[in-house]
Amino acid sequence: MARAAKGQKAYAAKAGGRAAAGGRRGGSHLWLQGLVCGAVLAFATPVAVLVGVMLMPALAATLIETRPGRPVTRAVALAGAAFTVAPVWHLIQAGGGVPAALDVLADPAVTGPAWLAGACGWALCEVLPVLLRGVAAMNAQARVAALDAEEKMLRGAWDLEEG
Amino acid sequence: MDDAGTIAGHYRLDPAQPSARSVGGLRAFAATDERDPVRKLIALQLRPDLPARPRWLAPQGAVPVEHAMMALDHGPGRDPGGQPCWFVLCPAPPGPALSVAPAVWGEAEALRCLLVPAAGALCALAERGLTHRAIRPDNVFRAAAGEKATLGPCWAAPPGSLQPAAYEPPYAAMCLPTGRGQGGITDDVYALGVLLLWCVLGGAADWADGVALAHRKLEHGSLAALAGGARLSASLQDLLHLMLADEPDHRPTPQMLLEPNQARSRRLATRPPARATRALDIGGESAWSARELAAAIARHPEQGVGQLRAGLVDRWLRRNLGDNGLAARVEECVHRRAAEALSDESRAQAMLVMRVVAVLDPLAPLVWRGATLFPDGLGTLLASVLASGNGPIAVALEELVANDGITQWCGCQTRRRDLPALKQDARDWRGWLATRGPMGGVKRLVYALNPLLLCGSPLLGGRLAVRLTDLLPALEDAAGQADRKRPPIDADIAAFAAARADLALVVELGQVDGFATEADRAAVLGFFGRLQLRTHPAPLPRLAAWLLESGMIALTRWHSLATRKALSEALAQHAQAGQIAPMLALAEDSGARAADRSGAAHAAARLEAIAAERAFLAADAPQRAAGAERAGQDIAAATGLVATLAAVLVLALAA
Repeated sequence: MARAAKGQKAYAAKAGGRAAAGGRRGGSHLWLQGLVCGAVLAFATPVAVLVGVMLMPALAATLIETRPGRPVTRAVALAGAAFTVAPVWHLIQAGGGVPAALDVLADPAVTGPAWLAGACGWALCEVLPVLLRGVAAMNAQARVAALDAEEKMLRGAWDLEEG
Repeated sequence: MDDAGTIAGHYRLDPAQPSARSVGGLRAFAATDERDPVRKLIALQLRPDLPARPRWLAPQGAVPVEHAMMALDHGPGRDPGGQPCWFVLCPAPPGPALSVAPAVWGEAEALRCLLVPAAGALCALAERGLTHRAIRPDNVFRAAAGEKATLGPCWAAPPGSLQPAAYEPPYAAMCLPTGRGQGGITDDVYALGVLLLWCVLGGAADWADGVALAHRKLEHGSLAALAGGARLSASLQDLLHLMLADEPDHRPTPQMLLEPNQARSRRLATRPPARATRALDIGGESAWSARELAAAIARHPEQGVGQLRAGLVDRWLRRNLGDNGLAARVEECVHRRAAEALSDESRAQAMLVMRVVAVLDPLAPLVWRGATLFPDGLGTLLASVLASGNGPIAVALEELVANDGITQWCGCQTRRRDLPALKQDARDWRGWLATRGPMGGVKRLVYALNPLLLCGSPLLGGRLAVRLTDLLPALEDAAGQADRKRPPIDADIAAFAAARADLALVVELGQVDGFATEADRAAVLGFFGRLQLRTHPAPLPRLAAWLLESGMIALTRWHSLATRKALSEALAQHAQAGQIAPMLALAEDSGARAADRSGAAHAAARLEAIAAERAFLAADAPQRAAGAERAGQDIAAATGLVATLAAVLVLALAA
């Protein structure tokens, strides 16, 4: 018992250490992200403005979502990114500044698909798990039914109680 | 009785004379032989408590003997009232019994018409190793005055069992009637002598009181006790003196009696038994000689044992009888009893009485707790006391065998010639009695010692079975009214079969203990199957159905329900055909049983696997749901990633 308690204490200490280190790593990531965002805002302001507006749904999802791994944010960001890549590329190639970026953003044919894609990403992320859970449950039920039928058949053919 | 209503296949009760009469102490009916209708026969009805004598009914016993009614055949039948009984067939007697019309016979007529023909018949019997033991006025017949007499039937009852005490030698008369044993041909000579005296006296003798008469015989000698004050010719007196000698060896042989004048001229150098100067009183009886003392102790064992332990008996033997050797032997018996560690005091007392009586009078019968018998009469005595419900004597006899009393009695005997064989028999009897299970015990002993005793099982419902071959037909006949929930075997049938059959047929029955286990039921079924193959190949549909209905074939032993159904149908077919052996073969098919067990094991394992899988499915549902959710989210992310990569690719290509 004493040895077990000692082991548990050691494990808890280790776990606490790992959590503290994770917190430190999360803090450093946040600091790094802030640094990158600051650098982008400082040195590529038009691109930053364009990307920031185009991926506004993803940013919103980031703020709202609390699930570990942020799956909705990930899906919304990746879906929106598909329609953000081309405007950003054209902006860079044209060498435009912030006004050019704002012109691009003023075009609903550019921002609309990006935001719509984000919405689709969100919808997919909510619907697909429900669908897959249903499929899995149906599979399990079908298997249970098959097992029931086999058991009934076996019990109907064999008397395993006596003899 | 066979299907044609005949007895033993050829004989039939005469419907013209349906009423029974008494012949030789048994009910007798007129009978006819279908092969020879003119021949006059009688059928004697056996009594259940008096087993017939097997040696007489064996083929060698059935050879005709002049002036003796020999048995022709025997078998089951029904009396005119329809009751099943066992009959023994023999020629009708030539006339009425001597007791029907008692008359004073002249000496010459008695010798010519009674003694010589009877002696001739006894000679023939002696050559075959048989004794008659039923010579008395109501069992000796003659057609008319002046005709030669014929000895009546004797084989339908145990030796001497129906004899009045007067017609038996004193030691046999002391025995219980059915325990008198086979005896010797000289015992027949004795009975013939008494009958001769009865005829000469004109049937006027009063010999009714058996116990007192036996006592008088021991005290005064048989001739004096029987003849009383009657006047007899000197020649007849000499002859009767020899024929009625107490010592069997002193009596003339039947061969000698064929010439009565020579027989009576024989002289015996015998001394009368030593007589004491003062009588010893035991239980109110005064004993003047050693044999009277033995008889008194046998009749009053409690008082006898008291005097033995007090040393009064051996002192009396020394001082008053002057027989120091006998006194020493009696003293040895008392000391031996003290040294023996018999836990039961009354059993120790019975053993002491038995030994002392045997020592005091070597000719005396065995005495054990109120049962007086010659050991070779044990079987018939046991059968009769069991049939009549005489519990105390039955228990005493059982105890006698179980305690090896007969061997102990043999150890005290000095006169008998058959001791080694008797000891061996006693060991066998003890072994049968000690055998556990349905093949042993007192029933086995009774059936083994009485080869013609009817099987007493209530399952037979009054049907008769004497031989092993009678058992299955009787059960088949009884199956119609039987309670078929009970198996068609009980302790009586098992003991009967064990006694009548060879070991191979019944060996499995020895292990049967109730019918609860599969092995017990298989043993019973196996027994009936083998018995049918051996003794009765004809169909036995009712018995086979009885075996099925009583659960002797437990279909529940089979796990496969389909096999059970198929087996049940096949068994029903075999039962309908009345063949038990194929039913056994089906039930005991080891290959099919192994396949059934293997299939059942496989099914059980599969059921376990199903249960485990079902439990896993129930327990794994949350993990499965979480996995599905993760997969959905991953698919959504992957879709976006693919779209992004596709956009990059399109831009790259366009550039």
